[in-house]
Order: sequence, then structure tokens, then C-alpha cells
Amino acid sequence: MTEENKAGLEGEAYWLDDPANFDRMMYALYALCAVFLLLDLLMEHDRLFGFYAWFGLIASIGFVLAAKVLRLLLMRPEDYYD
Amino acid sequence: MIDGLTPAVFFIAGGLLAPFLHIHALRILMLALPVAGLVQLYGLDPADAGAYHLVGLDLITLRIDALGLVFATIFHIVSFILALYALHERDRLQHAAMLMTAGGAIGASLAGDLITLFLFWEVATFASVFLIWAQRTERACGAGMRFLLFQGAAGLLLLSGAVLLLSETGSLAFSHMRLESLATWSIFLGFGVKCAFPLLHNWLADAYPEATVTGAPVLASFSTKLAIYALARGFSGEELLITIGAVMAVFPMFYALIENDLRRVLCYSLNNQLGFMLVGIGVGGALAVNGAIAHAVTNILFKGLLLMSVGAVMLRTGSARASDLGGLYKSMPWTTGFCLVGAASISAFPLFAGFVSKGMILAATAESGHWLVWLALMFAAAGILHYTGAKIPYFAFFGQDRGVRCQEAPGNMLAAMGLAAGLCLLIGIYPPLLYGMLPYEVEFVSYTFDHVVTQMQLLLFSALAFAFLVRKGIYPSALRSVNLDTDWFYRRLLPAIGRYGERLLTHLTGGLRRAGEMLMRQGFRLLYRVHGPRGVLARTVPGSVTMLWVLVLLAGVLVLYYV
Repeated sequence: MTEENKAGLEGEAYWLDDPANFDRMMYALYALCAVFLLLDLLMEHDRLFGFYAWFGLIASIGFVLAAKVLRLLLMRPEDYYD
Repeated sequence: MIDGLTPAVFFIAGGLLAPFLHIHALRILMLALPVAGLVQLYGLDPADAGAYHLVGLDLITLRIDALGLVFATIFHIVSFILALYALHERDRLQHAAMLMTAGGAIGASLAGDLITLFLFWEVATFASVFLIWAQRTERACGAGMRFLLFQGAAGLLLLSGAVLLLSETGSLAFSHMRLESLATWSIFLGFGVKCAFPLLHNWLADAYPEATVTGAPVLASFSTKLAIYALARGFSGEELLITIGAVMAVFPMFYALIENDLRRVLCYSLNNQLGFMLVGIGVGGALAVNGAIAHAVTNILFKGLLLMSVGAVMLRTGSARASDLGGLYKSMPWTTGFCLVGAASISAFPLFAGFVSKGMILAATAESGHWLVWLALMFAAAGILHYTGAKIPYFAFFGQDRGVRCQEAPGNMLAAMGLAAGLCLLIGIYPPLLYGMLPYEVEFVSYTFDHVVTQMQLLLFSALAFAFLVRKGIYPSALRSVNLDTDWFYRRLLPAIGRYGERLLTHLTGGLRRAGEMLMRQGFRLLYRVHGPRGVLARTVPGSVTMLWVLVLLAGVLVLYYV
């Protein structure tokens, strides 16, 4: 067992606890986004370039913002019905 | 193999026996019954109707056709997984309830007439409420009662519809119907309540999260999927279902996003997935109905898997609230892995089960030209990471580490989750496995370059949005809270009206009493004034005066007499 694994089992240092690793994951996500956006060029279609990508981005941000507004109206303390 | 016997009988008999068995014997039985049931099911002669003649009605307990067979098969498979998941549990009530629920659902999916359908369905319903009550808290008791109220109403609608249909057409056969009479409307609404149509939906998110750890995945696997089966058989191609489904796919998303209880998040998300299936049924035709059924099958697997993983967390930490959890991947790495497979499946990442089933519904909706509905479904498909796919793993296993440390889930739970996760992957990687079971010939190909790339674009950019929103602190944080839903009407408004009415009545009766008292007092006062010790009638008059008056009177009479 390597040092790193042992530390992991003891609950001290986990791979994700290191901010540098987290950043690496984010870069991987950006890279994947770019790759799949560019793959759009290989498809023959008459949609807007990267339609699904823009749709995914905009629709989900709009969704979260709308839900936040809704939360203001709907949220009650946990013991509301008790 | 027994001729003409629905495999449901195995499960129901097992459920009835359960309280009298030693726990070890019961455990073996729970694992053996699904296997025996499946052998029985596939050994049956498709022509055998298992017909019974009861109180003048011809009941068909067996109808072996492709549509019923898909559901009966997946119900058997999932009941094995769920039995494995619950194997460590010592509460025999829960085991009995689980077996009866599975038996009822299997029986209903094979029923050939509406009365048999009703009877088996009610067995499943009444058994499943004990999975909520087994929690043995006041909250669970109330939630179970509300669940029963809705389910009872749905059962009543179904039964009265069946009786009306019998009197109209003289037949109880459960086949394709049209919304043209009171009878079919009544049946449709009965299915609708059980399927959690918008505004009739709240029993689902209200009751399921109050069930026990092992009970919640059981509830989520059978009842609503049975409603999907019933609607697919009875009302496929019904235009109304497209609208209902589209609303249902979008409306619960918002609730799932802002909800704190992760099991409730999954119930809202279940409600939203049912919307996808309804759109498929409503569009009608081979591809769309196949898609709806395929999605029901994959949903049973991945929704069950997600509920099982959150259940494992609940078993170990005592809470399923996002506000209590976080960072559990350190303590429960296996559960985390299985949850991620479930999350990837429901999000419809390529190679996972949701991709091959949801794609069919979306393709069929686009083909049918319902663009608005397609857009609504795409909106739900884009948002799924935010309200389930990323939310559940993020809040339970990653995210803010709140210092909760616990043991990994028990071995039997891990095995059950592993089995469900394996099936999700298997179907995702080799879709013909699923497509081969579907009632219609499938010409749909999931893995085209276009489908994979567009779906990845949708999900990756949605993931980008998720990362951005979480990092900027815009994503709704986990707060101890409840959100108002339609249950507010019967949990707050109705009781408030009741209390107001009671107050009004007290007021009214109080006023009446006071008015009566006042009248009585006035009356007595008058009596007192007349008859009291100082009253006119009680005044004592001296004898001499009386004599004088008598004399005067006599004198008067005398005078009058002589005059």
C-alpha cells in the first residue's frame, strides 16, 4: 500500500481535497466541452452551430435562476406542518 | 410450473406466510420467490387465460402478451434486487409488505380484465402503505393516511369506471379505450391519480420519502410504473396525455431543485420522469409507446438504484437531508460509485440506461411534430443534472464535508446496488437486451454519431453551468426547509377552514346562548316585578280598606238597583 492510500484510509488526505486536483477536473470539463462543441462541425445539419450546447447552458442557468425565485415564495421552516 | 396460475400468487402467499416464518427462512424465501415466479411466468402457455367465474363475472387472471410481459418481468427482477437490499432488515412486517406489493403489481400487470386489475392493484396499494407505517413515527403515520386517501380515491374511480363500463358495453375486458364516456373518464382519472398527474401528484412526494430505508425503493418501483402500464394499454395515442406529460416533466423539476430531503428530491424527479413516459404514451405509435415502456423499465432500475444509495446513506448517518450530508465519498466509496452510475443513467449519458430509453421518446416526439412539447422535454433533459444527476451525488457524497463519518453500507445493500448498477450499464452498452423485450418491433438506433454528440453537448454544457453556479454560490444552497406544494391545501388550508368554522360555530352558539340568557333574565325580571315580594300582585292591602271598598261597592249596587 502506498503512502497516499494509507493516508486516504485514515481520512486525512483525499484526492479531491486538494484544490489543485479539483482545478484539474474543471480543466478536463472545459476540454471535453470544447471537444464536443467542435465535433458539431463534423455533423451535417441545418441547426445553429452547437445548438444543443447553447441550449444546455442557457436552459439550465435559466432553470436554476427561476427555481431560486420560486424558492422565495415556497420555502417554509422545516417544522411548518408539525 | 403450475398451469393457469399467475405468479402473483407466489408472492402474495409468501407475504401472508412471512409473519410466521423464522427470519432466516423468510430471507431465503424472499430471494427464491422472484426466481420461482419468473420460471412460472415463462413456463406459462400464452393461450391460458387463468379464467375464473366469480359472482357472475368472468375474470381473466392471466394475459400473456408482450406489453404485460415486459412489466411482469422487470417487476420480478426488481423484486429480487429489492429483497437483496432489504435482507439485513429484521422487521418481518416490511418483508411481508414488500412481497405483497410486488405480488399485487405482478398480478395487475398480467390481469386481463378491469376487476382483476383493480383487485391486484389494491393488494399492492394496501400492502405498500405498511412500508410507510413501518417507520413507526407520527409523521409517517400521517403521510401513510394521506397516501391511502389518494390511493383509495383512485381505486374507487377505477372500480366505478369498471362497473359503468360493464353496464354500458357488457364487458370488463381491459383493452384500449377512448375518452368518450363517464366510464372511461373515471378509469382514466383513476390511473391519473396513481400516475401522479399534475395537481394530483402530491401524494407521491409527500408519502414516499416518509417510508423506511428499504421501503422507499419498493414504493417507487411498482405503483407508478403500474399506472404507466395501465395507461399504455388503455389510452395510448390519447392526445390529452401529451399535454399532461409535458407539464408533468417540467413542473416537478423546480421542486426537485429546491428540496432539501434527498429522497424527496428523487420523488419529484420520479414524477418528472413519469411525465416523459406519458408524452410517449400520448404521442402513440410503435416508437413512442416503446420508448415510454423502455423508459419505465430503465427508470425502475436507476431510480431504484438512486433511492437505494440515498437509503444506504440514511441507514448509516440517520439523515437524508442535503443540509446534514456531504463528503461521504470518504466513508462510503462503493455507495458513491453506485450512486454515480444511477445519476449518469438518469441523466442519460451515453453508455448508461437512460440514454437508450429517453432518446426514443424525444425522437418520437420530434417526429410527431409536437415542437413545444419537445422543447419542454429538452428543457427537462438539460436541467436534469441540476435537479438530480449532479445534485444527489454532490450533496450526499461530495460538496461541503460536514464531518460525517460512518461505515460503508452493509454487504447485501452493496450487492443489490451493484446488481442494479450492472443492469443500468448492461442496458446502456447493449440496448438490444432491452429493445428485444419491447412490445413493438424497434427500428430505433440509439448510438448514432449525431445522438451521442448532441446529448454530450447538452449534458457537458449543463455540467459547466452547474459547476459555475455552485462555485459562484448561485446554486440554491441546502437549507433545512420544506416547500409548499398542493399538500398545503389539505394540510394547512383545510384544517384552517375547519378551525375557523369551529370558532365561528362557537361564536354563534355562544351568541345564541347569551341571547337566550338575556331573554330569560328579562322575563324573570318582569315576573319578579309583578309577582315578587314588592310586586303589584303581592302587595298586602289592610283589611279595613278592603271592607271600605266592599261597602262602597255594595252601596253602589244598592243605589243602582233602586234607581
